[in-house]
Amino acid sequence: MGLIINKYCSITPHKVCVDGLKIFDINDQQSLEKSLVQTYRNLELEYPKFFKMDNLSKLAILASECLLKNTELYKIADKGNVALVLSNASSSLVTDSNYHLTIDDPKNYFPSPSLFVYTLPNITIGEICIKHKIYGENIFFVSEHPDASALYVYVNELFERTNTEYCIAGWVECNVNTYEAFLLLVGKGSNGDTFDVKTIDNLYNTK
Amino acid sequence: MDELILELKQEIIKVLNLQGVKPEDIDNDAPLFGDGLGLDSIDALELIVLLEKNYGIKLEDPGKGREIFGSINIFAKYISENRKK
Amino acid sequence: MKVVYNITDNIISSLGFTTDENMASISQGRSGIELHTDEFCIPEYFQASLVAHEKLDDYFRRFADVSRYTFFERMIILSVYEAASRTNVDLSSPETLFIISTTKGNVYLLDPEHTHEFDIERVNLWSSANEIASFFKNQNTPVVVSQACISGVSAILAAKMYLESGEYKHVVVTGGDMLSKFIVSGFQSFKALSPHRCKPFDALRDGLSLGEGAATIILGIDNEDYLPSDSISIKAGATSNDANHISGPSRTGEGLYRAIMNTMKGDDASGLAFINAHGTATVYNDEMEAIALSRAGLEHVPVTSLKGYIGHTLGAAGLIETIISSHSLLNGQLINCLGFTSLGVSKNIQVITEPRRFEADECLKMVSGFGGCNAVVLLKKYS
Repeated sequence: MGLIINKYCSITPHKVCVDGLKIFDINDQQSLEKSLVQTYRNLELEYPKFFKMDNLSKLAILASECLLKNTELYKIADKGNVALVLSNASSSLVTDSNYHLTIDDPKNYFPSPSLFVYTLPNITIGEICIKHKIYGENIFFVSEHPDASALYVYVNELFERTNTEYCIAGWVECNVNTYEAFLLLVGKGSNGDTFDVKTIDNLYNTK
Repeated sequence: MDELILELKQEIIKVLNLQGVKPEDIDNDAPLFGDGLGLDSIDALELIVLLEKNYGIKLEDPGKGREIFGSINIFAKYISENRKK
Repeated sequence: MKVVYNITDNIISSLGFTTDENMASISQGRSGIELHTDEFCIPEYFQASLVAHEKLDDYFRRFADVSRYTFFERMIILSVYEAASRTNVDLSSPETLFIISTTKGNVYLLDPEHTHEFDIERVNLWSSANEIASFFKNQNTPVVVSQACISGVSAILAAKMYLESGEYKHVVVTGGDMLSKFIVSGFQSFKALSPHRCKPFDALRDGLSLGEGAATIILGIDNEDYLPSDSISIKAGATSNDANHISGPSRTGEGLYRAIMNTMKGDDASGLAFINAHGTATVYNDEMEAIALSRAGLEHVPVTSLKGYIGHTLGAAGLIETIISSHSLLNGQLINCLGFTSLGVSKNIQVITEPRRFEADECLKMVSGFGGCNAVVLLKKYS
């Protein structure tokens, strides 16, 4: 039995897709922040903490919700065997810059703890784990472009050598101009798209 | 005092991003932390920044925040007695 | 059975520019943490363990152009260069992968005071990583791990995966963090810094001391029967999230407890000589670690923290502290927990107060960080 892609989803400022099918359009003539809130409302999420997050974590929460909703995993209270492998290009750069604005001016120097805490890309992993009670292996990679082969090797080894039964893997990128999430739910099985480099690239490029 | 209380509520809603909460939703005597508004330790730190930024009050001992943020009334009383701006 | 093992290593910190210099300073009980009153244009003073910039540049100038690299990159390049000088591993080989661990890389370039110094693209971690890998003429895309304070251990565990996959023969795990206005002010806003040198696990602990540094471990993979004598292997490891809060450590030590259990996989603790804890000396972190150790049945194993010597070196911490733990395993000497006097956590853990000999051949290194992340690695000595 090999590894398969049970489900995948993508979110951009224009649309939200699940398994390659558009589930709704997003008005792209609004700020990134507002389009994330629109997606939150469309997904009928009730999670007030969402509004305290930076855009990158908001995006990660929305993508994890799209991916896990209506799956058998969603209802499991303690997800000890679910791994989380996320990556992006900009780390937490947008929030880093916003935080820096609170310390630039010596006359108006008030470093903000609620911004500082989001100046780490792996806070996205923390937010997803809190929301879905995920306790499995987790790591955050930074690469210039989505790197399907590095991801493939790493996720394969996770299944081979750890307690991992499912892995949420993919890309959550947010910069000043746009954002993009692309998440896969990888599991053991034989019915579904095979988890390999070519399929990951294909799904990403046709999302 | 009523003016300060309203201003304080508006500021708290703004800096803590309390979505959907209106000033009149916050009970003047209810604890700010705990169940009510769902505030956590980062919110407490952000309120310490608010104290310093808006009222010039520097809180050296963050543990003291727990008393000061007991309720809106306690918070407003502390500010009116200690404010430097 | 094939095992992943440490071929050679290096540490750059306030205590020295080689692993040996660092080990010597630690055995003499030296701390690199000092009071800084006028650093980074920060209004409040702070205690921190800073790397000697000028001395580092004197070394760096002997083999490379100082002006082409940021201080963050210079620390890492010097660290890899020094480590590589003691092995014949070909760093430029397609079978060698670079994995770089950092939390904030060149974030200081966002400071208007420094923005002009380099192309702003260098603030991207991947860009900085490319510069480092290119310096050693390595053609593979470097892997960057950025996972707060567990980055270093996470990077080591990722290296183990990539080696076991058979894709690479060697992995250069390197990384670091430099202190800047950004990082120090952020920790101050969290009221997380102690006005004194930090006191891990102590009753009077009141916060952490920051540090900067870099470190490198060059890892290889071989059959355990063919390992060079006195090798340290990366025997096992695991990560787990608290799934509780993004900045406050879990009150039950959930993630750390699970990471320990997944690392030990039912092995009893009789082989453990010591546990090198995260021990940042914040009230909540140290208490959380004590609870996790107690839940895992490890209260009786001697435990230490290195933060009193070199501070909390962020993205370098997992690397530096794993290397020091490895050398402690090799020389059979426990390292006392500098800054600790009397137990200040609710569980009866055995904090090491004086250096003494031991016989066992395994140890645990634990780290935890913002985002609720935790990582544990089990090291084993092959004699």
